[in-house]
Amino acid sequence: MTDKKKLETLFRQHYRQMYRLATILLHDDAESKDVVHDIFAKLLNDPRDLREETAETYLLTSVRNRCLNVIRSRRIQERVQHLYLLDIDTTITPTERLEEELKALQKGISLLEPPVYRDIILQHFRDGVTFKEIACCLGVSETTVYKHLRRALSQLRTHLKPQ
Amino acid sequence: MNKTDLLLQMMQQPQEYTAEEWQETLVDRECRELYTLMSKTQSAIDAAHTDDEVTDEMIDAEWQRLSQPNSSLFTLHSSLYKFAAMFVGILMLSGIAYAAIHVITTSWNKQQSVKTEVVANTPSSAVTPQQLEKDSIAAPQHKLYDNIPLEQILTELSAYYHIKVEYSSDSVRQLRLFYQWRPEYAIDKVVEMLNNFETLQLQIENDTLIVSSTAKQ
Repeated sequence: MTDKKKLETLFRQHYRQMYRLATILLHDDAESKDVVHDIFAKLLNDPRDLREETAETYLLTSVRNRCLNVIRSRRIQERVQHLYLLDIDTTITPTERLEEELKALQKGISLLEPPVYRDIILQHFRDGVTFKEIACCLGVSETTVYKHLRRALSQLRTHLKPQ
Repeated sequence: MNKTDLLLQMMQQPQEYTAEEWQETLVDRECRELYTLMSKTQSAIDAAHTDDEVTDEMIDAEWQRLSQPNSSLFTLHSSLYKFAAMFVGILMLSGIAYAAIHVITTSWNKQQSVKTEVVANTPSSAVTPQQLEKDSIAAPQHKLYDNIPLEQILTELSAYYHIKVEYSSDSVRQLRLFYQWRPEYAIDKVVEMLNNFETLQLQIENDTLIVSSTAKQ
């Protein structure tokens, strides 16, 4: 099998995991696609660092490092805008623990009560609706939306195991 | 308005606030926790959505994009990232420039910036406390450490406060932090603020700052 064929197999095998990790860290579809793209573009030119037996770890580590470089290159305002983690070197947890946390949060979101809490979380984080728009839609003040959001997040926190 | 309401309001228009204003807000433990939880909630929602989004067709299309390196689509939607990566790449060519770009000072004159570069790139043993003290005294302005290794931050601060620093593990030295320091802070205040960073534990004992990591090894 040629190097290109081997790389195509690895690409198809690991694309989902790599893209998923990039999205979790960067919160941006297009940038996440580019991170995976660039890793394979480099490997197509020079596959020497890649070994089949350690390919998965190598590829996921590459995703993580590239994402960290993207985050580091941004100003604090841009980091907040993208909701990147702060102190990335200290707060980004190992992948397995990260996955556990995300599952716990997904479960927590589905269990939020009253339903308006879940609506606010989904409208804001999934659909990109601003708090101001949500306040308008609900006919309440922005401060009331903040209060609901804080309570919703407080419920979500209970689903995360202490470190 | 309470502090977390202020944070949420600021998050609606992050660009309208200065780096210093962000630092002041995010140094608060409650605000940091709220922000971190929001970041993780965003990740959880994004992760759920990527599981449905990545189809075999998308993977085919992305492989095609790789097979056509001159694709204009690639240049178009990755231009920002490419620019950032290139910028970092250029900076990495020169350790001096890289260190200097991250040490952002608001009222630091050119001459003092040059001194900062030297400090950032010289082994700590080669820089005497007196030199550092002189720099600090000459420019008692607040200072923003943006993505700077803890060891470098503490080398500068220990000279200012005339204390020694001991590390209980080497890994902790390389932790990169975003931290704003002001000369009016007492050392206790600095310790308290730095203790707000996850996995970091600092304490003062007889003029020695002991730094350890609470992260599981």
